[in-house]
Amino acid sequence: MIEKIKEYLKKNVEQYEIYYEDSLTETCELNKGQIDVFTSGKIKGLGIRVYNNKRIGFSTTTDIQNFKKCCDEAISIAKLNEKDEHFVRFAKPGKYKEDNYYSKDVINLEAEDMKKYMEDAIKMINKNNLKLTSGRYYKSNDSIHILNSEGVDVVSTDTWNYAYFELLDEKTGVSHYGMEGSYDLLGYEKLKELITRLKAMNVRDTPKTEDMKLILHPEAIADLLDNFFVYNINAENVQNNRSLFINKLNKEIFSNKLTIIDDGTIEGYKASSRCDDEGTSRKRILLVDKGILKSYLYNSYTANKDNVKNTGHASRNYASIPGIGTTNILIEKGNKNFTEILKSVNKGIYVKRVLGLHTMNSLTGDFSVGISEGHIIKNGEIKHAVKDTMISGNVLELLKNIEEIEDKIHYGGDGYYVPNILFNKIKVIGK
Amino acid sequence: MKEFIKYGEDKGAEYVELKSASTIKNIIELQNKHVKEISSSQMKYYSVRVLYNGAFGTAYSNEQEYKELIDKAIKSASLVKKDLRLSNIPNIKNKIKTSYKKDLSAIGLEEKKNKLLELTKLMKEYPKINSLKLVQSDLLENYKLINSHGAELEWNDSFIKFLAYAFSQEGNRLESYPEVKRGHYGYELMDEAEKITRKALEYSQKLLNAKLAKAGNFPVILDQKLGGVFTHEAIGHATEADAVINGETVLKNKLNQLIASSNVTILDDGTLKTNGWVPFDDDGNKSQKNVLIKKGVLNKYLQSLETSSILGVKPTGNGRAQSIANVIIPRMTTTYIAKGDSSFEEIIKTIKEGYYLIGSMGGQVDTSKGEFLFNAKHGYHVVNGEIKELVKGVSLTGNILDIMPKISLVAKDLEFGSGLCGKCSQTVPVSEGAPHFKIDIARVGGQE
Repeated sequence: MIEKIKEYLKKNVEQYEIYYEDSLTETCELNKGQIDVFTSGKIKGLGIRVYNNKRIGFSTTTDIQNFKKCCDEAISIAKLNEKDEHFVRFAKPGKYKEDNYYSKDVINLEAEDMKKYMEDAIKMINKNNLKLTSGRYYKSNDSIHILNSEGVDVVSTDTWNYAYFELLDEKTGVSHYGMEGSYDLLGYEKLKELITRLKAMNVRDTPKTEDMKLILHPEAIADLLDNFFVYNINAENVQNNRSLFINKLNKEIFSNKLTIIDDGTIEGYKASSRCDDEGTSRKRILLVDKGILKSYLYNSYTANKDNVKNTGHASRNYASIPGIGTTNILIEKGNKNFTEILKSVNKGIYVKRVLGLHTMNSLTGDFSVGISEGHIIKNGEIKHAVKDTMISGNVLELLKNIEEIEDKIHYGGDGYYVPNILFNKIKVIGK
Repeated sequence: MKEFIKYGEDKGAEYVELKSASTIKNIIELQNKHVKEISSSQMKYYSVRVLYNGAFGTAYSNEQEYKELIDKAIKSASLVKKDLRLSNIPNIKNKIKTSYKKDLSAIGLEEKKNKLLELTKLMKEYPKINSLKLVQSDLLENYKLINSHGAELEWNDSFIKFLAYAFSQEGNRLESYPEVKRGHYGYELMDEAEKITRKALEYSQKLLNAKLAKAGNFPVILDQKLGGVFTHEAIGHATEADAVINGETVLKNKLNQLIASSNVTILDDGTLKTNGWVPFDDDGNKSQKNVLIKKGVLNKYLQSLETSSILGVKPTGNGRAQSIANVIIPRMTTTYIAKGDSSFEEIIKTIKEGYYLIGSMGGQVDTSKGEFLFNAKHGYHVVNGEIKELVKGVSLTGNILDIMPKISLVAKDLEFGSGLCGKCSQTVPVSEGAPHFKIDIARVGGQE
């Protein structure tokens, strides 16, 4: 089919790009501690970009047999578009690693296996005198074929599965949620951790409103970077005057203790793949080196516009034009272990999970959010959990004032591999 | 489609439901005066839901292969041990067409593009604006649902969205302000585009000089948009019956109890032709007006076909899914606080020191703990009953059961917003509304 589409486009346009996605998903929903319903899905989708007379057009469909209609639509949209002087060409082919960023075990995973996994999880939860209120096991297996007039012709196979748990401690009325996620078969490490964390929230109190030291857990760090850093480092936002990092390349933006890398090549990491969604091969990109901004994140269009090397961060599905997205974000570890860091804090708060960070102002870094999992630190020890408590501040100020970075990396979710970090000051809003 | 119902029943399904959705979508996005995207999509999806041995099974595809989907759905249902018996299964026949003044399909992409280009000229009236993003997207959808109880439903929908996102700059300071409207209309929504764009441009500039709010506990007055989001987040989610059944809401076992002050009445009404309109829900039940809280007393939970069957009550028309590929769960439609008898001016006068909070940047709620957070677009400091300086970066947090009794005054000026609601990895369009109202004391997050 792809060959037929290619032949058709070759005849009718100067440049083209075909994005063909074939995906299978299986979802198992759990309610009230029981397996509730399975859903299986099968979607094939096609996205066509064309370039004619310096104009780009895009169209997409799930009606693959009717691909000519989709191509014609893209061609007629290109006519409507204005001349785009910044567009040079679609992505160039790269040196691809082998297509082995997926797990055959996950491809072969059947609904029965997902059921078994969840039943064992429920047993573990019940044994700990907790209840699974709701949950989900989701599995997907995608194959993406990208082909363009520059010679890209690459297939990238991807597997992903996760188990999501919402747990309730009926004795205290406190609940918590979390997930196991991997491209490979799932274990129970995160579930065990979640159980421990929920039990540690049995005593909750609201602290007084005051400034104190802050330790952010890897999950909170991931959330913070995702809502602030990723927005501002996006080349499209920079080019359109919508970023705090305009003209900040090779300048100090954060504390010199902080080094941030995006690496989509590491086998076994969540967001690794052989190429991005335009067919550019994945690389390791140094984003922040000891506090100094080294690179933005690019796709082919924005890289051509800035006349720099494409970093390979195009992100899309068949139904959308390429935007820009991260792969795995890594923070370089520091040199003190967590216990040492904790001991250095006389009065502070350890925040593991916040509520509503997506409402923050990414352009100024100002945020004020609720704490859904956090503990008071007194004289170097973790004390009771907090409730009805907020923290507020400015992310840029926080990241400029790092005191210590832990010497260990944890998975913070969503492709973030980061340590615990101690910050000098945060405003805690309580009583 | 009907022949496949029989196929499912012959295979032993107790209930068979078939759906199809066919959509044509266009997106036009401008970045300042330049076109960033013009695109068009044509999608078709088919889905099946069966009840087999007391459990649901569902399957979907982009190809019309109902037999294969029924086989798959039955296979997955047979893995589940449940004893669900459906009651009040919908059997209505109806064909709905969204009414509009200007047919979206009669207006070409070029004309739609030119309208946005025209709007970008407004930028020059606002000197501190450095960038303006405009997005107009529209969707024509044909949605069909038939089931083994005789329901035959079809909805030809027309849906449009317009977003203006203005970015301003003064020295090194950047600010931004988004303003959006979406709903089941035709192209006539764009008659309001200039007003919407001007609001984004004006407030993006104004925020450059706004102060940061003080953090602490204050009396607050919420405008209609933020008040609507408050209603949606703090009350609406906690009344969804799946959370009640799972024991995940602080409002479980609270039916017929006083949980809010007696001047608070909250409704969810799927029949209102707002962004949250559903002529029938995804189970095939007719939408209706539901009173959730009546003068402070919890009156009703929001139900889907499944939850109402489990709880032995009538469906409320709130079984919704993001698309025909998703599992149906209880969701809100248009959720709002009913009109009270105060006026905005009267309410402001009662505040010695506090905040008037306007617009919403979104929110989040943890229904099992009852904790919520949301962020205003901007606000004003209120001192001795008078509105003072503009503030930004203000958020509100609290606990549902603590805060509902503290709503002391409700105005008459009810208005609706148009938002998106996320739950269980599914997003659906909703509306939320309220008149201006006062909360006697609330935790305000600010950076000052």
